[in-house]
Amino acid sequence: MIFAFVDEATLAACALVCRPWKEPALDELWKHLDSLLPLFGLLFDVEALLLGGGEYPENLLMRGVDWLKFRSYAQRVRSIDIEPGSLSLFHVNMALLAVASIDHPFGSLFLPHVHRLELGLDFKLLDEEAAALFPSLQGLAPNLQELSITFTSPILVGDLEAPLSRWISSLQHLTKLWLPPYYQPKMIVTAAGELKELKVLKIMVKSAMVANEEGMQMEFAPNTFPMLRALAWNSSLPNAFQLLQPSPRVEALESLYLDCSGYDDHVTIPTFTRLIGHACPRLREVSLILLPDWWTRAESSVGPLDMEVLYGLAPCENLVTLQIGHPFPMTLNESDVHWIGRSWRNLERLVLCVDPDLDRPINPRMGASILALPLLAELLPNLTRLGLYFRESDVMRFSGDLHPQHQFKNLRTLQLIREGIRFSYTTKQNIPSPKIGSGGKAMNLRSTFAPAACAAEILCKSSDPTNGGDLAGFQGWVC
Amino acid sequence: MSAAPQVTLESSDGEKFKVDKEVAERSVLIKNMIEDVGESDNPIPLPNVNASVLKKVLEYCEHHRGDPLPAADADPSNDDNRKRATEISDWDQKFIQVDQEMLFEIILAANYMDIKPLLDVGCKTVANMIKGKTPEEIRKLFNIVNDFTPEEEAQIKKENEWAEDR
Repeated sequence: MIFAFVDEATLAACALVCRPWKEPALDELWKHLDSLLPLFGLLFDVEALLLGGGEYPENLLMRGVDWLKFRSYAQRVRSIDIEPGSLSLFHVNMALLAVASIDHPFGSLFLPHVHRLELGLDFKLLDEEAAALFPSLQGLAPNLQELSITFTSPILVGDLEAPLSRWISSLQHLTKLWLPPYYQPKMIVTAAGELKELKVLKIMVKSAMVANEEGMQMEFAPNTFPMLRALAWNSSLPNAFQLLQPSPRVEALESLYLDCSGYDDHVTIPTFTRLIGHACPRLREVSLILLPDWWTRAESSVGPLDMEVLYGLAPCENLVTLQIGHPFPMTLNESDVHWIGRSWRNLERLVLCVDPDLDRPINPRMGASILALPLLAELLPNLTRLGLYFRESDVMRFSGDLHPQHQFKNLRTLQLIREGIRFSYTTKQNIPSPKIGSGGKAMNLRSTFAPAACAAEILCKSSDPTNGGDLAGFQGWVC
Repeated sequence: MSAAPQVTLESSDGEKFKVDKEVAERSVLIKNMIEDVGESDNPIPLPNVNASVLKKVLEYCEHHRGDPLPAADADPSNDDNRKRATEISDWDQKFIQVDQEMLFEIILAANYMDIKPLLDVGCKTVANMIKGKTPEEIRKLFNIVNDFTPEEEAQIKKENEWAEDR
């Protein structure tokens, strides 16, 4: 347990202290690797190979090397995270893996206990090299439960889909699968759908990369994804309607993250959330990104979301996370906060349109009432993350003291926008040295919203850093 | 206003401690025992914790009685948590400034009583004590005898050389 808090260099030292310390220290040191080179370094001189420019020497055979020593370390490894890093390093990792997969004498026991693999791929690789990668991975970590693949380039070459889908099909114990943003080729999603134990399928939403139209439009075949509980998906709004039509599979979902950006029918959003509430009543987490297609929509035809959007989610009584992204602030009054408090008493994360498009015309009456803040603290005692945009028409009335019942008890992250100034708080146990935010000023202030006298780091970003607005009053409240 | 419900804990050397139930239930072991057995006036025996250690543990629980309970699935071995090894709150740092024997007794008690935040504080404190030290310095710190042969030591060092400059 102590070793879990120790860095790698100290763990290596601990392994040399005495015999009783050796095994637990090595178990911890080798539990997670971010390269395969330490493993192959047990077999031959990896440094020399790297100095050779990463070219894999054809005469290097792995027969006759100390595989038993290799195994004694390989069986300690539980997770591997291979980042693309330098191309030559990646080549060496993958080439060694390919050869080892042929030469090693352990059958399917090459990395017997690895249950998590994060693979960052750089597609400066030649197509055929990349295509050879997945067959070499097949069978090496048969007990893989979590697989995350990221690409440094936006679109995957088509040649990879068949070997990658075959590899995914072979991972029968897989429970969690993360795929790169907007990458949803049908062949791979179909392979994932056949996995009997898969509970989490997440197409990561990180940036507006080129969409895979085919994938975004696909529906899940009947009887696929029998155990799915968490889905993160990129989709057009009409296809999201199709995807979430009531079925036992959809009803079982507990977490839903949908990026439906690019829709052109604003009025359907309340209908869409009603479908979610009706079809997925067990949801505990709902995150929706709803950015309209500005190319086909006139600005005047898109307005802020209102409470109708939330009313539709009322059947999801167990919600702990509710996050909605939209270019306009959402209007929230005290009565609305009362409704939220009554509907989702256990909410831990509430982020509503906190990052509006400030280049759009935002009416001063848009956004949440500042009076909602203490009310939220009272009605949602479990909140750990809150993100809101406060409208400018309300007067900021914080005097520095709040009644204890109006103080947040568990809040760790607070994102607020007021008059275009963004406030972002993350509480920490120790006060770090002051940091300077990009384009703004930063300061450390003691927070009263966490009773454990935690420090709050406050990072203020603004297009106009000299515009303090109500900042002084706000500081009075949090100081 | 009615008084907060209390429970009595009995240390391995027979000393009894009457504490608020909310404080005692920072220990998952005690919380489960109360749930299993139901409320009772009988003292709850803690045969693996002596009075001086239990007093110290209860001081911690009293101070942290209102804290949110930790997530059950938090894994301290990921990189983020390793980086947090030095992050111990001011109060906890002062609390854990005890001699080495008491420190390890507190860790054992926290483990037995299943008080994860206290266990973390104890483990982080030991981790901070050994951080950046050589094997010889660690041996000296804890009075440990090196039982490796020079050949064994050289082999372990070579096989784990990659970690030394991290």
